[in-house]
Amino acid sequence: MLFSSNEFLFFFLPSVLLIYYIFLRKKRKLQNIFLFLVSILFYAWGEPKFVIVMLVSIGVNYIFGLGVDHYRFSNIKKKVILTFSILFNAIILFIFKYLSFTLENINQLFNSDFIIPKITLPIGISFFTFQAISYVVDVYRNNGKVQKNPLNVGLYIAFFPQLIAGPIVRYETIAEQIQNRKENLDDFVEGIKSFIIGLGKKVIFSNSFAIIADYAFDNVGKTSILMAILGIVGYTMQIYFDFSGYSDMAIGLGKMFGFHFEKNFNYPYIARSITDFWRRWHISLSTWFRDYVYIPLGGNRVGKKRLLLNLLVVWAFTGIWHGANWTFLVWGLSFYCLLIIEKMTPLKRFLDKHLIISYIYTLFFVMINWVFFRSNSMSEAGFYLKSMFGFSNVPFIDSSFLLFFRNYFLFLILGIIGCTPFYEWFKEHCKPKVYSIIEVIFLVLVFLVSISYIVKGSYNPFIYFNF
Amino acid sequence: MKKLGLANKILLCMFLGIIFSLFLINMKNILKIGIETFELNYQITYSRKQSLKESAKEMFMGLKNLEAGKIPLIELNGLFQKGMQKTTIEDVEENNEVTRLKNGYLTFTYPKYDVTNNANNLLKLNEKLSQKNIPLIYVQAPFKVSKYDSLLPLGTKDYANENADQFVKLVRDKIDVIDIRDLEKEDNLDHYSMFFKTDHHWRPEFAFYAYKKVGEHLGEKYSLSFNKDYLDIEQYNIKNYENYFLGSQGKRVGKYFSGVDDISLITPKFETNFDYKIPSYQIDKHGTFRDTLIDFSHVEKKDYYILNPYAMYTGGDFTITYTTNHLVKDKKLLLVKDSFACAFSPFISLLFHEVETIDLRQFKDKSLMEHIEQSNPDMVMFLYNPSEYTDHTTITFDFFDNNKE
Repeated sequence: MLFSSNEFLFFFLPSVLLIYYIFLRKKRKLQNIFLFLVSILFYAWGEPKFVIVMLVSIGVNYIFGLGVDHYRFSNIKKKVILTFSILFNAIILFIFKYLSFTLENINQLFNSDFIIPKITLPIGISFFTFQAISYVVDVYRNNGKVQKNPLNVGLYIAFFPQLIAGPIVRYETIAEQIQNRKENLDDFVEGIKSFIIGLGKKVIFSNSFAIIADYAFDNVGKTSILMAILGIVGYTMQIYFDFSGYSDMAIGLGKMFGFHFEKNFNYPYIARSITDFWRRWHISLSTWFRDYVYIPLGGNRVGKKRLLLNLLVVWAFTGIWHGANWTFLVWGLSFYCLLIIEKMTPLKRFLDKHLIISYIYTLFFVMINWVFFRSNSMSEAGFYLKSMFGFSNVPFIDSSFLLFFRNYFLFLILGIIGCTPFYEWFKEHCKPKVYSIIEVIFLVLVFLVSISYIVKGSYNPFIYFNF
Repeated sequence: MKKLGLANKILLCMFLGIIFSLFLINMKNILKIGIETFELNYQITYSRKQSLKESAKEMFMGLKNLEAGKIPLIELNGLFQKGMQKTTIEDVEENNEVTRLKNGYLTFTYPKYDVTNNANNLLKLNEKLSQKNIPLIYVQAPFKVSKYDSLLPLGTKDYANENADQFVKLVRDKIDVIDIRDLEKEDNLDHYSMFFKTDHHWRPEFAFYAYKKVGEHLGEKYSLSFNKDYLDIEQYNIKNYENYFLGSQGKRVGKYFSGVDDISLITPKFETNFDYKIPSYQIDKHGTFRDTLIDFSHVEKKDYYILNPYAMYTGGDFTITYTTNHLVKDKKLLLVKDSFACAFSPFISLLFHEVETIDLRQFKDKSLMEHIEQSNPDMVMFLYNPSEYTDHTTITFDFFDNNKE
């Protein structure tokens, strides 16, 4: 089920709020069981057959958690259990996400003829598997208490706001909140605000930019240079508004039920370097890799060669996490190269001193990398880049560019403003009373316009099938 | 916890008010759908299990397609998109994207289409009809976007007229073609004033103009005899229904995006006497032009989203209809048509003793050729608008397939 759908907004959410706050008020145990059950329903709505995968993951990780906790005074035993738990999660992820891809490449490379199984990727598997790993590791590290009740582990792993599109909530962040959260009206209203902003980002902006991007990428090599550029600008906007919109909605929904998730996006397109960009983009993923992969590998307290290797591992994983395709790997490794250059050369210092150049540099490489991220294959990405830079036989301008530019120029202008901290700036510079009135009017309008798109039935792509 | 400010209280109430009121209205509607589906299924299958399953399926679909509050929300959406200066409004159905022309008129647009097969099919039909000495006349209705003054917004392409030109070019040598687009150009008609702003159809006035031109042609070329006054608009009453009509394009974007339309009812001042039958709806009417060929239920009240006042002419699109004009002695016309003929066929019925209309989009029992052999008309006329030349409407040019479902 998508947040931006009729069934979620006008059936699922009101039903869950009603039962949670009216019938289960102040019954924490029942509330948690209820939230777990409705999360399963939420997941099963679109993918009933994969519920079992998630339930197995929850059950097994619950047992691993108990095992790690049971042997907390025996380093070797708890390490062995932890290793098995990571292996288990990695195998699940590998089978569903990477097995077909791996066999395909082995067949191509060695001319072998392994049968490629047709495995459908369970939605959100990368998110819930990473949360499951986080659970066992955080128990291992004593960063969160073990859950004796499997339903609580289920609630942490499968909680519907963050189940299919993140953010990746680390166990240590909400371990305490599972039992001892305090719902209040302030949080509830803040949750509504965050949810509406996220819904608007997704429905009004992301879905509109998706129309431009999908056209450009579906017609690679047939469109003009300007259309290819507009296409990647559109995709740059689409993925930001989509991903950050989902995160805002998840954070908002979490708050409505008393959970506090951490911020997942912090205006990444105003970053002044790639290093800065990754501090602002999908923060929950980059910090997950930092804490669960990079630091265990030795972090930066190692020699130069080892550091390069550690970073290579992290960025290869980051890339491939987004999907089983060479395009994602190249996307991740391209960021790796840029980060290494920034780390090892005076480039970063230069960028710090030159504001405009630093913005252009960052956005340029981020956008080039989105071409790989969005393309279905390396050759498609190559064609797209050639079209964009005028190296293929395409005109400079065509009617599709004029059409999309004519139709979406206001969306583009508002989108660009939306990528900056204008909202925060306005809040700071406005009298609080005036701001609160403007904010309410703005949010009510955004909500109404968003639901008008949903009810009308507009283009509403889901871009996390690979994740 | 600090006290919740007034603005936040308003936001809280608005948010919960909206989601819960739509939830409640929805639940009521969905339960109704569920009960009705259950009862209907149970009457047929006598199986509780099966009926419950069907009922649950319908209720599930009901959850996906929210009906409560849909119209004001569509209108708000249209207003927002207009504010955002959009000229093309996407639709869930790819072919129903609505484009706003420079003069504010709404239109669908169509891609390039290879009309060769369609043309060959019509030529083949013409050959068969020639063997039976039945003349075939092809009336090319106009398209909303003018062939001579497209008014399309920057970057928008439409090939409907180009496709129609290609088609007419391929068949003109062997088939008698009346291209209304050329005639209106010769007569210097104001093309856009002859179309609805919010609907893809022509106005009844334009349909009457086409009828007049076709009538003159039939008189001259086929010696069809009829009272020439029937072609004179002065011999008709015209009643205007002001701001009464929101067309199929307007319904998709809401009335605030491009306004609403007037629609006129043109009825003869002279005496008429018709029988009008629509077998699929067991309709069998007898009486004057107004009593038979006009369905006033489509204009009984102003309802932009439910009613379709254009369909007051003949009642809308039906698989097959039979009209008998008791004041004309002979000649039988078979009119193969799309919806442009709704406002055309009542007038053409004034010139023939019998008129049968067939809509091939719905005609599935037999092939058109089989029907012609049984019906034995004196003349076959096609009236298609240029949007018929697309992939999804090849069925309207399929005349010989005997294996229709």
